[in-house]
Amino acid sequence: MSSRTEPLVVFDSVDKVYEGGVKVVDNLNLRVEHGEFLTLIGPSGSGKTTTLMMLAGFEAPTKGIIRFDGAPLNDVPTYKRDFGIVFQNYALFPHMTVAENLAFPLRMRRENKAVIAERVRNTLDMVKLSALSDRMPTQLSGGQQQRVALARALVFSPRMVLMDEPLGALDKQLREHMQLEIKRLHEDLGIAMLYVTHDQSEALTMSDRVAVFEQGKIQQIGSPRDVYSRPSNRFVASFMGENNRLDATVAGISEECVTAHVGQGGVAVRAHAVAGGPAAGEQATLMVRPECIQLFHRDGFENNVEGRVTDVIYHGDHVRLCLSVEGIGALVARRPVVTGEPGFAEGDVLPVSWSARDMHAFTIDPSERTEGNA
Amino acid sequence: MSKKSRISWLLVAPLLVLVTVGFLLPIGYTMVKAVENPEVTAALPRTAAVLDTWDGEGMPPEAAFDALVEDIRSSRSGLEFGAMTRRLNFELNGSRSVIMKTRRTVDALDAPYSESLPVEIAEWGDPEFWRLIKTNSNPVTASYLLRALDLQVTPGGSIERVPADRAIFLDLFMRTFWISIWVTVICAFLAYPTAYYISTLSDRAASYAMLLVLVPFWTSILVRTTAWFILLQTEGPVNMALVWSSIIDEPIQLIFTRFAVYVAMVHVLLPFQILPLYSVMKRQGPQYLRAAASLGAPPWRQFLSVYLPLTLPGVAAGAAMVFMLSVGFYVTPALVGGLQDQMVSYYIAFFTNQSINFGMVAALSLLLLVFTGAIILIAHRLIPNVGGAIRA
Ligand SMILES: Nc1ncnc2c1ncn2[C@@H]1O[C@H](COP(=O)(O)OP(=O)(O)O)[C@@H](O)[C@H]1O
Ligand SMILES: [Mg+2]
Repeated sequence: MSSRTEPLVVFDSVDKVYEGGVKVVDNLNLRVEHGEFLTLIGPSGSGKTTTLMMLAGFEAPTKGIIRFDGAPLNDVPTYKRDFGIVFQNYALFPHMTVAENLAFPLRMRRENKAVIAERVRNTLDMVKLSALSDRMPTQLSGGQQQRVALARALVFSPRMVLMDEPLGALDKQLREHMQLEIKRLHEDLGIAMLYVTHDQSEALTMSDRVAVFEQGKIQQIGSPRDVYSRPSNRFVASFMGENNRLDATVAGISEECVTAHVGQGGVAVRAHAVAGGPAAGEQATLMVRPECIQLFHRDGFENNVEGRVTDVIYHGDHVRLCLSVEGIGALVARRPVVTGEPGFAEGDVLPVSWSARDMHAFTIDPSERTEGNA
Repeated sequence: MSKKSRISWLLVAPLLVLVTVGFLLPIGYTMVKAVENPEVTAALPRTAAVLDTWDGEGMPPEAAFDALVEDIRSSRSGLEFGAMTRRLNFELNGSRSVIMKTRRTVDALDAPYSESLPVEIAEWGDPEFWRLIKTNSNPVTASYLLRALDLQVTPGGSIERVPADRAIFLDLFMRTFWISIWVTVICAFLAYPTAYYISTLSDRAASYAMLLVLVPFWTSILVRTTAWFILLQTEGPVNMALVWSSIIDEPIQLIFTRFAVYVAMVHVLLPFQILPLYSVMKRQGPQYLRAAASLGAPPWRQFLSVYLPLTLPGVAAGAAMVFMLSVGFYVTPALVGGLQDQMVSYYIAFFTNQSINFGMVAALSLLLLVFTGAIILIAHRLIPNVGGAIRA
């Protein structure tokens, strides 16, 4: 057993190249802390599953080392790794009842019958499935199967839990419910969980930290708040949540503020300056989230313009306003629907403002210059 | 009838017709043939009518003798007469010559025949012989079915075992099922690793491997069996190779042995086990094995607790097919087996071609069907999925 200061899992310069020759995981350095809920998020094909499979032992790294509790895992077969894994399609054994599925890992560990029965019972209680212990998996709904899969991955008190899009097959309501349930289990059990998803709301709700993957590389890793509100690059900003994107030319940079002209010599707007951001005279992409756009003028805000409402789209809990702003172009704002407040109508001319802290300036690759606004 | 159900009927109609014409009718016909008993009544109608009123005690009345002579004198058409003599001879060895002798002598006889006939031919003075004719003027008979189980009806009407030298059918059924069970077991053991290996290959390699499995499948059974017939000759390639490689000193008897029957039958039937097994294995995917590994199962446990139970339906489906096909095997044992390796079909062919006894043909077929059905049913109870649908 190593000291507590050592992370639980360390990916040390790990590469994975499949037969085709494509580098699916590219020089990955990732740490999972003890008791942490870490989510890997990224578009389909970005290497999340492959990363999980390497940790699980189903795939071997082409290069690099994965350490668990300080010890290299590379030569440890899956069945000795002691990780609870929840598969996307659950992989419940179809020829065993729910109780037998749960007893399986305990039988493999040669627990005695009484212990097995009790652990199975307790774990089924924990996921509220006690009534279904004698059912076959095919007789369960998707949500119930998901819980059984979760229970089976937890029943043997594994050293860590890995989940690959475990809620992908459920409908929205059930998915949100299970997100909270998994979070509760994580808090109760204090066990480290590595979770893979491509659903950003899932990642933001559940995680202690989020790692954003693209093309086998981690683009950013940090708390959900960090990743969402301080994206470190264009990819992260556009992958996590919705954005207004403006192409601009940087005019000048002060301590905290980037001043840029939208398009060629358009309106000057101010954005948040970060290290490694665009330099003066360079092309940049500016991004601001719809919910950060206010529809009144505020003294503290650096950007104050006027916009005409071109469309109002009702979403139940919020409305999306399409605005046309002189010298900037189209902007989307998102406002909550508040009872009693006057609504917005097409043609209204409104004050529009946002803080420079909510607007991010990113450099553009030459290859991406032709893309239009979002 | 609604339009929808009319369409459903139309869709199943061709199959329904085929099943009726090709399956239900022949089976029904076989069942009738196995118990039908028309020969004696057809050839000796008057005698049958008189004997019908006779109680079977003592000698039959004078009218029976008159009817018999009348019948035999007028029955010159050879077909019915021949069928009747074969029928009686099947029940009692020697009856044939009695009837033939009677036909030769009746013309010269004078009434009362109850006196003149027994003088010429002693059997007509024996009530047993008359009872034989009376029993077999009955339109149905159990004697074929009983004989197929090595049983017979005594002239007294009770059922007894046939003498040991003629009791061959129970042995024959046992041998048929024994050979079939072994062929099924051997096929399962050979097919399982083969199908598994093919299922792990890339699609391209798997299609070539499947070709190797299927090419023999497309070749006629007769051709394949003949190939074994040549290979297993005492001077054949197998023996030559064994002698040449000094494994044996001189050629051994391979052809006309049980061994040859197993080799050839397994070779012919193996694809029937590989194909369903492969399709089940192909659909397995790595997910359950991965789940088992993640839960702490070492490879052998992954196989025994997960892979095997999940692929067993494939074994069961293939085994049921192999078993049912081998039970009916004829050409292969007939060509490469010895007399002691012949199966039920051999005797069905024998009774069809040689002794022209369709009653026995039908009885053997029917019992084979019943026994096979019973075995499959028992296996289905013991191992669910035998003979059932293949499920994913
Ligand atoms: N067994 C494999 N052989 C070859 N390529 C694979 C294999 N598994 C995944 N890939 C490829 O690796 C890339 C990353 O896949 P994956 O890790 O599943 O991504 P994600 O889970 O993020 O969607 C994909 O382009 C996929 O096609
Ligand atoms: Mg994936």
